[in-house]
Amino acid sequence: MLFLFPELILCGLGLGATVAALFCRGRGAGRWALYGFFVCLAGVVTGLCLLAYAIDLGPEATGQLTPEFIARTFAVDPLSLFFSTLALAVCGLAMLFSMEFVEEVLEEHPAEFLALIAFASLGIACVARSRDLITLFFSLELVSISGYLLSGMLRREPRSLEAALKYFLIGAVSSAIMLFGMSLIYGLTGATDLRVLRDAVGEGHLHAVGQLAGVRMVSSQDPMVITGILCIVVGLGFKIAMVPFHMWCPDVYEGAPTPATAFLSVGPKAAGFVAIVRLLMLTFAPSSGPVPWAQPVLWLCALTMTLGNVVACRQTNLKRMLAYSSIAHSGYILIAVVSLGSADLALPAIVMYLIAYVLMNVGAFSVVIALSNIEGREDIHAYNGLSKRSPYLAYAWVIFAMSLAGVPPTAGFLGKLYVFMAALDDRVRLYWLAVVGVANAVISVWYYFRVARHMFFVEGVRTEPIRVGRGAGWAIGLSLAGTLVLVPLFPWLISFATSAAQVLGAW
Amino acid sequence: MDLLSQHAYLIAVLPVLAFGAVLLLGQKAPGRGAYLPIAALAIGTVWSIYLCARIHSGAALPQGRLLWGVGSTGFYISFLVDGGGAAMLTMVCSVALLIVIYSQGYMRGDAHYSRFFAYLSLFSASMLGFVLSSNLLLMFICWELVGLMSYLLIGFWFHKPEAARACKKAFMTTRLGDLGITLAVVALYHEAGTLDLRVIFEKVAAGGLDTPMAFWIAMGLFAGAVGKSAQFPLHVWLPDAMEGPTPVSALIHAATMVAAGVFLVWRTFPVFAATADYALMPYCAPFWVALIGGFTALFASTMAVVQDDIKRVLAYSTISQLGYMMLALGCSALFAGLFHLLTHAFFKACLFLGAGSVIIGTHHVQDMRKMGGLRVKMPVTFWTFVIATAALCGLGIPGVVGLSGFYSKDAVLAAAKVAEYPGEVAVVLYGFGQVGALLTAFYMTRCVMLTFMTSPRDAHVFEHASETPRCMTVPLVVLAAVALSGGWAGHALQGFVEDHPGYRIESAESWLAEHGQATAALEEAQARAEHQAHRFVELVSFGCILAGVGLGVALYRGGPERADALARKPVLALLHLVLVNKYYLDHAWAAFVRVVVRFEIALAFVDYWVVDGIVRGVGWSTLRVMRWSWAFDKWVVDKVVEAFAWAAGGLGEVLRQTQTGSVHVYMTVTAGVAVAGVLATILGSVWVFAGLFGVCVLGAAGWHAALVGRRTV
Amino acid sequence: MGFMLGDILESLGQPVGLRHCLVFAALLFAVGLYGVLTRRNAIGILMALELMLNAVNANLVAFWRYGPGPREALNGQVFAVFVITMAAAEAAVGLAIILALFRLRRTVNADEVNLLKG
Repeated sequence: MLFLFPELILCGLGLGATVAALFCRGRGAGRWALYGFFVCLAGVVTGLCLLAYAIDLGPEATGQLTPEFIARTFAVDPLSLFFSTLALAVCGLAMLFSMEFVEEVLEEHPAEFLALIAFASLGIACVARSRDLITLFFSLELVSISGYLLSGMLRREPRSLEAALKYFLIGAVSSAIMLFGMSLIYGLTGATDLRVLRDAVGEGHLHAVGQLAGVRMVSSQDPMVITGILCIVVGLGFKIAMVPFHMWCPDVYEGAPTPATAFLSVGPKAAGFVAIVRLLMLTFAPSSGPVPWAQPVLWLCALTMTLGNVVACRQTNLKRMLAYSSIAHSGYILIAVVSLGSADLALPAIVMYLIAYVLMNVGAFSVVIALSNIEGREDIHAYNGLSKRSPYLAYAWVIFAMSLAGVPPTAGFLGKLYVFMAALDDRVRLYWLAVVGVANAVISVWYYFRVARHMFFVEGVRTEPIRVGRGAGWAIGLSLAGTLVLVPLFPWLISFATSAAQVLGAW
Repeated sequence: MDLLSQHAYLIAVLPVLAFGAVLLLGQKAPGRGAYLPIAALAIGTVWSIYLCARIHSGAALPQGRLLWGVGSTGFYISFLVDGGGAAMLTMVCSVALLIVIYSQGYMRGDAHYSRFFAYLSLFSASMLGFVLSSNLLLMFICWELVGLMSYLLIGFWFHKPEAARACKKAFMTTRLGDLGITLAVVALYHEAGTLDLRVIFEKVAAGGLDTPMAFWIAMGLFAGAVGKSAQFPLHVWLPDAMEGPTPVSALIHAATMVAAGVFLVWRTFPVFAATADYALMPYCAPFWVALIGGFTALFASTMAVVQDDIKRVLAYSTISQLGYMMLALGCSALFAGLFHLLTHAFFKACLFLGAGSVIIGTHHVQDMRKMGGLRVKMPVTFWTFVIATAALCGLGIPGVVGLSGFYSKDAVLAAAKVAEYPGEVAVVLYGFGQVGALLTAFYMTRCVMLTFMTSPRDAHVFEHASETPRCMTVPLVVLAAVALSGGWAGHALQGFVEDHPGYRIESAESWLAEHGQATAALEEAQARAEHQAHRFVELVSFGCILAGVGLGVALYRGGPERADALARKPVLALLHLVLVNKYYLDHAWAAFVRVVVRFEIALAFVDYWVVDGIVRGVGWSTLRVMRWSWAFDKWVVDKVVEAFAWAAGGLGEVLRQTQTGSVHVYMTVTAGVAVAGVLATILGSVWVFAGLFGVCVLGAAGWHAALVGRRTV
Repeated sequence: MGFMLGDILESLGQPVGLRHCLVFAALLFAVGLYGVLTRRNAIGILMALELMLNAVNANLVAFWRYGPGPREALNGQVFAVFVITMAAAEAAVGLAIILALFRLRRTVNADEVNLLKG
C-alpha cells in the first residue's frame, strides 16, 4: 500500500472536499483550496521520496511490498509512481490557480469544484497505475466524468453548459466506441490483464503461450483485433484531442470556466497519453510483424500538429487559441508515440514532453486566469498594454510562450528536442515527420508571440495596474520555476525518465 | 548506488541556487541573504560527511555523468568523489559554513550585505564544483569562476582605492598563471584526445604521453597552481588581497582559492609523475614543484617576520604553508600534502577569523603596534587564536601527542627528508622546510605577543576594545576545536584517502611501484627509513619550535621596542629594509608591467594602422555584399516566408470553417472516421478510407446545411 | 477472412452461439450509433448511447460465456457490471447537464446549442 500513497492522498482530498462542500461558501473555499494545495505539496514531496525509494529497491522488491490483489491491477513500478506524483502536482497547481475562481466567481458549490479536481486527478493517477483493461477504462472514465462536470460548473452561463454538453456527448460516444473495442479484445483473448494481452497479441511472444492457460493467441492482423485496437485508438484519440477526434476541444476549452479549462488541458491529456503508452506502445505493439495502429496514427499525428497550429493562428480568443495549441502539442507527442521502433528514446521523450507540457500549459493558462479574474474576458485585446499593467504576467507569458514554442533554454525545448530525436533515430527514420514538426514549431512561434506583441507594443484602453491574485500568482511562479529551472537544469530528470522508461519497457 | 551519492554534484549546485535566490531577492531574502547560503552549505556539510561515511563503508565511489542530450550524442559533465575528494568537500563545506555564519557579525550594517552572501555562496560553489569535477574543462571553468569571485570579493569595498587595486592585482597575477593552465589543457586535449581525467590518466599510466610533452603540460598546470596558490614568484597578490573583508580573506586562505592550486596539483599528479625521471633533473616536474614549494615556504616566512599588519602576517604565513603543501606534493608524498591542506584550512580559518574578531573588537585597527594586552578584553578570541597559532607552529610533544599542525607539518618535513632526490637536493629541500618552521614559530609568537600579550600601547584602542558577538565567537571555538584535535584523525584519514583512490592515486601508485618500491624488502626498508625520518623530524621540529617561540617571547616580552632597536643595527637594518620591501619583488613586477604596457602601446599603433586597416577593408567589402544580400532577402526570402504565412493563415481560415459548432457534425466526424478507419485498415486500402471519409464529411456538411436551412425557414 | 457476410449468415442457421450474440450486439451498437448521430433531442441521444453501451455489455457477457477465457475468471461479467454502473453515472451527469441547459435556454435540442464555433 505504501506505494499507492499519491492515490490515497488524492482520494482523501476528494472525499475531504466533498465533506467540506457541505458547509463552505465563498471565501472559505479559497482557504480550502490553499489547504488542498499544501496537502498536495506534501504529497508530492513524499511521493518523490517514495520514488527514490522505489528506484533504490528495484521493481522486484517493490512488487513484493505490495499486496497481491492490488499488484494484479495496479502497477507499482517507478514510472507509474512518477505519473501518480505528477497527477498530484497537477492537482496541487489546479487548487492554486482556481483559488480566486472558487472564492469570487463560483457562488454555488465552490468546494465541489475542488472535489472534482481531486477526483479527476485520482483518475489520472489510476490510469498511470492500471495494468488491467477494466481498471484502465474506469480510471479514464473517472477523469472524463469529472471533466464533464468541471466544464459545466457555471450553471448560469450558457457557454459553460454548452461546453459541458458537447464534451459529454462526444466523450460518451467515443468511450462507447472504445468500450466496444475493448470488449472485442477481451473476447478474442479471454483476458483483461494487460501483460497477458501483450503476450497474446502478435506473433512476437509465442514463447509465452504455454504459461497463459485459457488465453488464446491471436494475430495482430486478425480483423477483429484491428477493429478492437482502432476503436481503442478512437477513444484515446478523443482524450488527447487527436485530429479528427479533436472537435470538442476548442469549444469545450472556450466555454468552460478558465480554471477548469486549464485543468482539462493538462489532466485528461496526460491521462490519455499515459494510457496510450500503456495500451498502444506497451501492449498492442507486437515486437515482430506490423503494428496495426501505427500507420493511421502516423498520418493523424502529422494532421494533428498541422491543423492545431494553423487554426490557432486565426484565433483571437486566448482560451480557444490555447485549445488549438494543445491539439498541436498532442501532435508533437504523437511523433514520439509513432516512433515506436526507438522505444528507448520515445518513452523518455513522452515523459519529458508531458512534464514540460504540464508546467508550461498550466503557466500560460494561469496568466489567462489571472487576467480573466480581473477583466472577465479572454480575447486578445484584453491583453493590450499588459506589460505596463503587470510586468509579472507579461514576462511570465513570454517565458511560457518560449517554452510552448520550443525555444531554448526552456523545458519545452527539451521536450521537443527529445521527441524529434526519437523520430530521427536510425531505427525509425521518420525524417519527414520531424520536418513537419519543426515547420509547425515555427508556425506556432507566430501566434504565441502575437499575444506578447499585444502585451508589449499595443497601447491598452485600461492602464491601471493589475493585482495578481495570490493563487494564480503562485501557480505562475511555480510553473516558471519548473519551466526555467527544474527541468532544464536537472539532467537527472532526463536520466530518470530514461531509466524509468526502460524499467517499464521490461514491464 | 544510492540516490545521495548519485547526485553528489548537488553539493555544488545548492550554493549556486542560493546565490541566484539571494541575488534575485536581495534584502528580502531570508536573514537578509545570509540564511540561504548557510542552509546550502549546511546541507553540503552533512551531505559530504555522509559521502565520507558511504565511501568509508566500502560503497562504490560516487560518480556520474550528467547528460544533456539523447543517446550517444550529447554534452557530458562528469564528476567523481574519491576519498580525498570527499575529505576536501567536507572541509570546504564546513569551513565555508562557519565563515558565512561568522560573516553575519562581521558584515553587520554593510550597505551591500546580501550581495556579500550571494558572492560567498558562489565562491564556495565554484570551489566545490572544482573538487567534484573529473573533467578538466569543467575544472577549468570552476577554476576561473573561483578567480572571478575572488576578484569580486577582494574588491567588495571597491570604493576603497587600495581594494580596487588589490582585486585587480589578484586577478591579473593569477591570470598570468592561468595562461599556463590554458596552454596545458589545450596541449593535454591535443595529446590525449579527451579532457576526462579518468581517460587521461589511463593513457598516462599506459605510457601514452611522451615525456617532454608531459613535462610542459605539468609545468603549465603547475604555473596555474603557482598563481592560484600564491607561490614564488606570483605570490605578490595575496598580501594585497587583505584589502577585502576579513571573512573573504579567511575563505581565500583556508578553503577555496589557494587550496584550488594545491588541489589541482594533487588531482593531476599522474601527469607530474609521468615525468619523474631523476636522471634528468631539469625535466622532472615534481622536482620543480618541490623546489618552488620549499623555497616559498622559507621565503614567505622571512617576510612575515617584519609585518606589522596582523592580516599581512597571516597572509605571508599562508604563502609559506602553501609552500609546505607543494613541497610535500613535489616529494610525491601525496597524502602529506593533502593532509596539511586540510588541517591548515581549519587553523588558518580560525586565525583569520580571530584576526577579524580583533579588528571588529578594536573598531577597525589592523596595526599590531597599536594593540597589546587584548587577552583581557577578548578572552575567547585570544584563546582560540593561541590554539590556532600553536597548531600552525606544529606544536606537540614528539612521539606523544600534538595539535593538528604537528602531525601534518611533520609529515611534510619527513617526506622532504626521505625524498628520492639526490642527496644535496633533498637536504636543501628539507632545510627550507625546517628553517621555515623555526621562523613560523617565531613570527606567530611575535604576532600573539604584540596583539594579545604585553601591555596596551594605544590606550584609546584598548579602552574601546570588546569581545565580538556570539555568531562570531562560536565559529572561532568550533574551528579552534578542530585545529586542536584534527591531527588525531591523521592515520584514519590517511587510510581513508589512500584506500579509496579515484583514478588519481591508482596511476600514481603504479608509478611508485615502477620506481623501485615494488619488492617487499625494499618497502620495509622504506618504511623503516620513513619511520626514522619521522622521529628525527619530530625532534628537530620540536627544537625549532621551542627556539622560535623562545626567541619570540624573549624579544617581544616588553613590546616591539627591543626588536626595533635590533633592527637598527648595521647589517640587520639592511636585511630589515629588504624584508620590509618584500625583496623588491613588487617593484620588479611593477617594472615588468610598465615594460609590458610600453610594448602594448607600440602594439596599439600596429593595431590601429595595420590590423584596423584590414578590418575596415573587409568591412567595406562586406557592406557591399550585404546590400546585395539584403535585396535578395527582401525580395526573395521574405516573399517566400510571407507566402508561407499567408498560406498557413488561409489554410487556418478554411479549416476553421469545419468547426461549425454543431455537436452532430462533431459526432459524425468522430464516428465516421472511426468506422471508415476500421474498414479501410481491414480491407487494406487507403481509397476505401478516403471514400468513406468523404461520404462522412459530405454527410455531415449536408446535415448541417439542412439544419441551418430549416431554422431559417 | 472469416468475417465475410456469407459465413455469418450461414452460421446463423445453427443453434444459438457466440456468432448470434455478436451479430446481435453489433447490430445493437449500430442502431445506437445511428441514433446518436441522428437524434436532435439530447435526451434521445442519451438513450441511443445507452443502446451502444448495452451492445458492449452483450458482447462482454457473450464472450465470457462462449469465449476462450476460463469460465471461472469472471472478467467479462465484472466488466459488464462495471459498465452498467458507469452507464448510470454517465446518464446521471448527462441528464443533469441537459436539465440545467433546459432551465437556462428552454431547449433540449442539441443542434441549437452552438454559441461556440470557429
